[in-house]
Amino acid sequence: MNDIAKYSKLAVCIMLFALFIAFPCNAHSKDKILIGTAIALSGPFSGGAGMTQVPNFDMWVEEVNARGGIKVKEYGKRLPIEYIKYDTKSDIGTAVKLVQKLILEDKVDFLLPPWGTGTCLAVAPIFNKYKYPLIGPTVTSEKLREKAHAFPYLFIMLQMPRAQGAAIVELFKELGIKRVALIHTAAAYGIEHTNVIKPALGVAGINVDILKSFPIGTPDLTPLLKKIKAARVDALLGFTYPPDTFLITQQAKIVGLNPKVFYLSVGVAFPSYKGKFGAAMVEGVMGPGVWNPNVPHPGAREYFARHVKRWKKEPDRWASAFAYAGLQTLEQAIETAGTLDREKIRDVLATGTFPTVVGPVKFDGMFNVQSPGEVGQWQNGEFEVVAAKEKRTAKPIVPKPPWP
Amino acid sequence: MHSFRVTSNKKALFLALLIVILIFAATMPLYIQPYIIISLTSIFMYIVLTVSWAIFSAPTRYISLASASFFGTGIYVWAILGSALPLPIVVGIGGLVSSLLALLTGLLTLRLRGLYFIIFTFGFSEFVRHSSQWWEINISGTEGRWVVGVDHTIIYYAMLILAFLTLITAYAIRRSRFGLALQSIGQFEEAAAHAGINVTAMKIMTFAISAFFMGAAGAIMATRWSYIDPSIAFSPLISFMPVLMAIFGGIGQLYGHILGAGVLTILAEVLLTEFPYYYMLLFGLILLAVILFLPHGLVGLMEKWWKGGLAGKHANT
Repeated sequence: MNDIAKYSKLAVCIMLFALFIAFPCNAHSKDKILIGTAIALSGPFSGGAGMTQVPNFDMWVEEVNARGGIKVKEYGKRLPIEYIKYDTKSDIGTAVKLVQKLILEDKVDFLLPPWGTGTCLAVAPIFNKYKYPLIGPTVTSEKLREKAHAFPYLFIMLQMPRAQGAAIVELFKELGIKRVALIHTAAAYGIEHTNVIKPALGVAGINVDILKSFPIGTPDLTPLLKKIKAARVDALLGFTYPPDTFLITQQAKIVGLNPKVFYLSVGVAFPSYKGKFGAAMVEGVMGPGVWNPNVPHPGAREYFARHVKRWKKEPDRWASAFAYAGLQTLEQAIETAGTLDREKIRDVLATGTFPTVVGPVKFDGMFNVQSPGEVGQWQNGEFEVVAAKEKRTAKPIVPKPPWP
Repeated sequence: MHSFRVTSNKKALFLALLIVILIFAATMPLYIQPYIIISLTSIFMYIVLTVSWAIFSAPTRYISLASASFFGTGIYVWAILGSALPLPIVVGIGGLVSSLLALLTGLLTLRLRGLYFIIFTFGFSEFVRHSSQWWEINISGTEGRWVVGVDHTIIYYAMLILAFLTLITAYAIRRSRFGLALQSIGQFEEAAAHAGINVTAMKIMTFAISAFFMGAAGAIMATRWSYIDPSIAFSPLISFMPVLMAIFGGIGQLYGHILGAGVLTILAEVLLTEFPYYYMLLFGLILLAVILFLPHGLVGLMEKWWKGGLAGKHANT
């Protein structure tokens, strides 16, 4: 084997590498709107993403394309959506990279939000840098308030811990709750809510007898639940993620923990929560949210029916509707701006009011001020709005009925 | 394992080639699309992780699954100091802090062998992750931190330089008496000890050197992630990927580590974006195939090709 052959092989390798690097990107003509998303299709976040966001994204794209697309005045016609969906594997590093790929390589016109507070916070600077509006339905973070000025392209659909906390404290006062056990998942969601609500409870004269955090996906919480049972508190207040929400519900029944108010967080509003345990067992369980087809906002009932028809399952009673409302908001902002210029669309988003299935969405700073309700309670198989008081679709049932 | 001696003529050619590659890499951001620069940065990151992992684990045959703890330490160094000090200094500190951590754990663990060592290092990674989570929640009162971001071109250059330094170090160690001593530890530790090698000191020192580069890589990558929390910073994936990449490329050769890191990073991304629903399945199948059919990794395959085609593969054995 002579050297010339060896080096020619080497040259082949180098050329192949160069080809890979210089791979040309696709040119886009404007006969469609390219929309991309990097979202958890696998891993621990995929349960939540697959419940609240992915089905709504898919359904919305289908609906818009069935209408012929989004009307853009600048082009004098409706532009259909072409949709790219990547899997973040529930890994934030991957999410960041894929968002960069969507922006820089796929050159999408708009991005749909990833799932969860942490991931949204991680990609927010990139959205911002390249001027892509991020209308997040599953972000709740008070920390964002101080950062709001730095993220003009970030818009948050969901209730913030402050609003959520105020509603909970108000409801607890009304129900005569004196002593609570506050537990939370060791994730941004649980920590931020605890930080806001614990002092608010103190101000209202409600005592936090037990305060405890646990890592997401803890396999057994019975020791903690037994301790709470022994403390005979009036309310269990849990800022939890879906795996914990399901686990605590199951184990509370086993250890016989049944306080007057039983409140857990992400997951309670899922139809699969009712589906797994049955309407009788979840009767009286409270959770954040809330949205149901009976809220007095135009399109709510129709959205619910379309979702059931398309996916053969109900949307969850919280963030699903917000995810869909976020998409409605984006669509209206594009049509109002009459252009695909994202800077102009951002200005429309920042100032406009957008009728959606959760009511008229309006952003104050980056935060949507509209919500159809803050606290929900399962009653007869529907997640009814019980707080705030003026938004009620039903009266709260307290004390919670015993476990069946 | 080299089948031919490197003559001075070839050495010169090799050097020239290296310089060409370096110049090419250094000028790349001028004419290449930004996303490819970002992808190359990931490849460089995995090259740093794989090569630095192999500095310790390949010759000594102590499989370490602690990479995530060193990488994550670097990330947190940036998160804490990134806004106060310039990038190269923070990266250096990130490396040093990780080294220090490796020294401490090395003192505790490097008397363990085989499976015990593997399990301990993995447990150590998880321990670091959970303790920092506990710290963040109970002491800092938060979970994640915003970190100061840096332009992707700067991240590219920083990672390129670090990758280069890692390669030089790895090469120098392999070629030195130090490297020989490490190999003798891997082959027969008692014999090495009896030959007068201070095996514990050697192992700890090498472990710390390897951790330095991982920590530095973490400090650089933190600038790209802009938001971190303990589960991002200490992701167990970072512990496993270097092992997989080294095996994939070929654990015996330095260029095997580079090849493994490069090919596997590209492969993972292509699979992830083209087949989002079958990503894990395909990735696993490919890894399985390589381990079953290419015991010497990609390098083994390439060497056969190099030496005269795959058809005559029985001639050489």
